[in-house]
Amino acid sequence: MDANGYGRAVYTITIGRHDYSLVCFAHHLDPEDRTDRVIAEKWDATFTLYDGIPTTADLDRLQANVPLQEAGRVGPRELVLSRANKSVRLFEDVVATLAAGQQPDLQKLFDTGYLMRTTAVYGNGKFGLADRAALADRDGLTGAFQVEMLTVWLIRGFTHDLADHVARARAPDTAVTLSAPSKRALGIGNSTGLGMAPFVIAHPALVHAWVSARESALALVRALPAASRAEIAAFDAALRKARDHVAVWVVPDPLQMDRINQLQGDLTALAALLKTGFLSGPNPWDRLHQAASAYGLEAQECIAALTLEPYGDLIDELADGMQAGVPERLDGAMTVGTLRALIKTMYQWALKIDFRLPSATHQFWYVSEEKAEPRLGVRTEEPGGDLELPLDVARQVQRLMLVLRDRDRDEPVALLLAARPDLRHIVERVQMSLRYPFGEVQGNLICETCRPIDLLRFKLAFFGASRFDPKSDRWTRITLCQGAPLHDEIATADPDGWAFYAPMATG
Amino acid sequence: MTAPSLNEVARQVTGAAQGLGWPTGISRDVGAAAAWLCGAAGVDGVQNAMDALTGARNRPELRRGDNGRWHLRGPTTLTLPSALDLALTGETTVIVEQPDSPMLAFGLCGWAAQQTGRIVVMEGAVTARIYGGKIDGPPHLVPGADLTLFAAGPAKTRPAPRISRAFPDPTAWAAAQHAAAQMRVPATAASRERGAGPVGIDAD
Repeated sequence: MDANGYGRAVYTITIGRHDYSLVCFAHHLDPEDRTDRVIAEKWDATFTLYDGIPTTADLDRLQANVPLQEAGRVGPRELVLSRANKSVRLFEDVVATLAAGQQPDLQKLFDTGYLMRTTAVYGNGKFGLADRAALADRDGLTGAFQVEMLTVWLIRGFTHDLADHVARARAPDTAVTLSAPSKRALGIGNSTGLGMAPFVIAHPALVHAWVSARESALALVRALPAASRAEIAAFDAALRKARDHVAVWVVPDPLQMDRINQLQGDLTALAALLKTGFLSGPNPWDRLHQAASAYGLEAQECIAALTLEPYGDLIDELADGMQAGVPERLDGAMTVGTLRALIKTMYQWALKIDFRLPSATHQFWYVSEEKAEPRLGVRTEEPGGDLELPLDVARQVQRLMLVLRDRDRDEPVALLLAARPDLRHIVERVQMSLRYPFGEVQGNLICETCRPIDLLRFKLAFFGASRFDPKSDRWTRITLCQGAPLHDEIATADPDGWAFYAPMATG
Repeated sequence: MTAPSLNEVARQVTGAAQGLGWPTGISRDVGAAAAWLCGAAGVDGVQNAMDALTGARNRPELRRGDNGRWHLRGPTTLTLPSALDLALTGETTVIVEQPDSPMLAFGLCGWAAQQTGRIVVMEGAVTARIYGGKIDGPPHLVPGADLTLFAAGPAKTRPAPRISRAFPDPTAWAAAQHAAAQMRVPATAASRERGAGPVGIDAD
């Protein structure tokens, strides 16, 4: 790594019996090339997570490919491919302050939240990476996106070290390194766009697994007949942290800021309610959830999350089920009558949509030829409607229902599909709803009022994203790992201690 | 080029099938079958899939034979998914008449066996037994023969294909890339602006 912070670095972590190395390449980037879009072709830093410890020859091979990202090729030893751009102003401010021998202002660190933000994190075989099945027997990495999140956390540590390195090179006699509190205030940012929305629709089994784990956890806690003093104290502590966190969560988007303001008011009201001894009575968590219905949606979700905090021992094992295996095959023996009944039960929401209205089909999802970027177009104004992605689940269900009305109710689906192979995809999807009832996004994704940003937030929430900062209805910035243990703390840190991070309150 | 991953094979062939106008559900089955052929059988699933996808696409014919067995005739891409749907409904034997792509038929059966954990038995045009996605030897092919298909109970083990790289014929791979690209929409200034992120630079 040279004095400007350009060069390469390797970080190795051992998990179970395996070493994993984050290989980092830091580059000069002209300001006019710095964009968070998928269509970018240059970045401040590029990364891969290598399975093992790379040799110099490996590093040279990776240096020829990783900085190219989608235009390069990686291989079966590489598990994840990623890139990040600097938050230029904060990075320079931090380096200058460190070079002057001082720690950066903690409030400033918290407000931005990161020195770099990732703009893509690829895994599962893309661009030649190892297939996800390669991790099937790897301790700690078998769950969905765990290897990607490991990579993101390692990148965060690299950004800290990069700032230290540049400051030291700039002023060797006076520079100090980031203190642990300063580092904790710096997570890793992420810019996310429309690509997450097709993912959510395309993976109903995984989405079900995630939501089912959360709903099961809530059900377990709500069924508890009483709460101990220690459990109530743990909830109170979590609520205090949440209020501190929300108090400093500020975003430019007026709609989201209104929601945050309402959340703040609702949590204040909740704190007042709890002072009445509300949780000391019978069935406290179930009553709390019923009481929460008087609050806004942000508060309801926040309270649901807080309720789980005191009960790690009761619910943590549910996380083991938050993954999906090989997609199941459709059931050819199911009769047309059963399929019809299933639609009436599980897709009533879809049957109610009037697709004769132009507003119901106003938009269409497609993949652009520009770096295969997923995009959302206006049907009457843009070409490409004939290449629409099949995210119009509700419309497909209605079309299927029309066909089913003319078929014998006792006919097996296998015979229907032999005559109508074009229905295979939607029949399979409807059947999946039987086993994965939480797997379907119950909304019309092609209507005029569809806001993809809500789908993005849903998925990002399961990654532990905080500081949701929507920039439009189709892309957002978020912060990951803010307050999380540092590289040298991970083996001993309290895994539950950093949710709702707010440094000014916690010190 | 680095040999593609199995996931790349599945995605590429699925995209190619869609680009060639095959239905979404069929395309996904064929993509998964191509990856299974590469990973479990060491066969070039891409070339076999592309051969089938660019071949005949007439509507399959389905009829009951005198012996009560189901008979299917038509392109492998369409007949095999339906044959498997029928075979997997119970202890039913299905005849696929002269499949035009026995190897893709093998791949589709392999993927179905892996999905269901069942034993799938193939005789005739392809002779093989697939145990929940695992095979105990290469298939025996008799081009031009009928294929008899039968699904037995659950396999005792359900191993996934061993992780590997695919080594597709470069011409077939290029053809798959070209076909998959047919599903992509040409970029316009409007589409770029309505895309997924900021317009301009992010030097904040």
